[in-house]
Amino acid sequence: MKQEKFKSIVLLMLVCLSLLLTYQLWYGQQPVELTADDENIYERIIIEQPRPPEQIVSPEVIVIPAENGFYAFREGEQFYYRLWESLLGLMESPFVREQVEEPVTDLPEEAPLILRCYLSPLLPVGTKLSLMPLLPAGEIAMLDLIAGKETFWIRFYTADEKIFAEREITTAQTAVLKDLIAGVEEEGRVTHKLLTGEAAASASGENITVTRQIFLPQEQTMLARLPVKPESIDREQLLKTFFVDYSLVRTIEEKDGAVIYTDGEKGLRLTAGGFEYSHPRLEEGVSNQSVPEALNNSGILISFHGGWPVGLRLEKIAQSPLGHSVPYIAQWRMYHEGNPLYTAKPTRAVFNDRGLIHFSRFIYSIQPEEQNSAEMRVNASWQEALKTAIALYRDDTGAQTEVMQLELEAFNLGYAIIADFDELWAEPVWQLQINGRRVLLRADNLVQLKEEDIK
Amino acid sequence: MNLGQAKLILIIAFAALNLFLGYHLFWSDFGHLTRVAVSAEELRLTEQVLAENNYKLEAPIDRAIQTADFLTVSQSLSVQRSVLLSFLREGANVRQGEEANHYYVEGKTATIHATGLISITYNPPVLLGENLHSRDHRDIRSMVDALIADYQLNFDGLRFDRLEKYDSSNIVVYYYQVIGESSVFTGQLTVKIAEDKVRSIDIYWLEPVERIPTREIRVISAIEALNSLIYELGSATEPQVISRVELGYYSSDYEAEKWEIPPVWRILINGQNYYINAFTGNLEQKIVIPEQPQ
Repeated sequence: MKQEKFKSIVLLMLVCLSLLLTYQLWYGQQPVELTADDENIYERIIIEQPRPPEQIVSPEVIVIPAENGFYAFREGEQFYYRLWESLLGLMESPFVREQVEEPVTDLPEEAPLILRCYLSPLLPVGTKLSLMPLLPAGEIAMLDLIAGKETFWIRFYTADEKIFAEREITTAQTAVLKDLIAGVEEEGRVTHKLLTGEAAASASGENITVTRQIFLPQEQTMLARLPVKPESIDREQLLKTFFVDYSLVRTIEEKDGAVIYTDGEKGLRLTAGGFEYSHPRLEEGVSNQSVPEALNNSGILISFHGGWPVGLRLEKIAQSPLGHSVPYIAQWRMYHEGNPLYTAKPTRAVFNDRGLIHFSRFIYSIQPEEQNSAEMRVNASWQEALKTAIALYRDDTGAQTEVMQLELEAFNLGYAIIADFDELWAEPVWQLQINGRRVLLRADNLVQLKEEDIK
Repeated sequence: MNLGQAKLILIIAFAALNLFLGYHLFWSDFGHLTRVAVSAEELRLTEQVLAENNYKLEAPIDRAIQTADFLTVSQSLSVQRSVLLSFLREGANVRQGEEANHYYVEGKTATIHATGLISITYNPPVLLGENLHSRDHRDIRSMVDALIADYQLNFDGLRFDRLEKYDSSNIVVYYYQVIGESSVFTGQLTVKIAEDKVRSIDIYWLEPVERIPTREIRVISAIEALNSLIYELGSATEPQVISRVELGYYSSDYEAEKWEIPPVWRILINGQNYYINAFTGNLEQKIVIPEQPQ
């Protein structure tokens, strides 16, 4: 009897064990991602959603005619964002093909300009794109808002200044834009003038040509030296965006405090101010992607590797030779209230169809709470800045350049990131580019800032 | 059949079922204790592929499954200091440079580079023995061992690597470093001999900083490393002999505070060392340092 009881217990145990093992074999052998929640399986990478294509390109400058010149708005200014958002809204509504081929317009020849927008990089529009999808594919270099009899008209130009498309906007849209633009007439707002070759030559006494549209303040301007901070980077998250298998990555701690992460094929160097990444093997790849695709990819790259903060603007995107290939190079710059921030190393992505070859990111931002207490300084006039820059350019390049034709390629106020007593500052500067050479002058005393002074 | 017999049959049947289920569930976990990373068949196939590409495998292959972690190292300041002190004791003249410091005493110069490389050159060169080229490798090695000991360069972990005769007069004797039980091929001592005389000794020595055992992971097998290397190198035009395939650590020298070096399979082909990263299977080359494209 006792033996029978023992057999029953053993049998019961074996049956239970077989049920347990069968359950284990049936359910426990499934891929882990199906049996557990995502939180426990994947190391989550919290990344920013890429911007939609129409938000990747933004205007270099938006100008509104004023009584004696223009009001100019750039990245980093609230008014700029509101204007651009309204203009994008006008482009999302369908433009029909007929309007391009035979523009039906009651626009007088000398219709007053309400607003002009300079786009660099060029804005792709047309077939299959989110902006003006019914029009043929093209790239817009300039956009005008013009006053019609009762409503505004919007007109687009290509890079060779030909009209690409135009249309009348609705009464409601006109009313919204009128209200918005009416708010520009703020007291104390500085007016700007479009610099012409004659004005530049007359101010400097030099034979100089202006190669692009440059808007310069006509009245006295003031800027303050402001404390800046490099953006804070979550190292772990960043590493995961560059290295698929993080466990195979080894570190090298440099003597200057920088840390290099590498898996033998790719390298990532993190410094106090930002980071640089290289994957040289991909240099041999081709770049067959179209410009809209490249723009979209650039947006994905900047969002994935650190995010796209407010004030960061895509400044250029172009194919450029690198070794034996011609990858795309996209470059961004941070702006503070319309003024660009100049850093020693760029925020730039070099990529082709195989992927990201190089990436560098050095983004500094001004702390708004520290801005109010900063002492404002009067900036030197643009005429003085131009004369000083040309003199420095001649000193740097030698006396023989006196016979050389000077070309002014860029001229604007901005901030250079410098270190002073171990603290980082945004120093107000005049930035000029003459015959491809950059000159940075302190905005108040026009003392030159050397490239090696910039962080 | 009574109930007792029926129970017995059921016990046997369920025991067998449980054994079957247990085998399927757990054998893969137990398996790695007894399995090898390289089967005899895989080895035979690899030898065949190598032969087709003009490579002959003459090295023994470690067939066990192995794990490894990264090794964190720094330049060995103690070795630099000991060389430096021995020169200073002899009244060395010092010349400091940006890339290296030089120490001169009569008959020899030590150059300590920023990367940590120490080069000692002898002028006039030191006679090691007569007709070295015609002598046996073991004889030459014992003479070099004695010289190293005499010059107090026989640091802890110094291991003889190989001796190469290059032409009618040049001989190079290679040593490498062992840290713990691991061969660290980055750590090297090289004795260069020409016309029976020692011309120079180069030393690159490392110090272990820490080990991260929690990151220990399985390394690729020796034949995977061989296949990766042949893929990188391609077919050889002349017959090549693979004389060594061994696991150790290697990275190129680097001017840094400290750095991690990965486990590698070192493969010696006709006197030339190749290092295959034992985690990734990539050929270890100069470390990828991010630089701005020009």
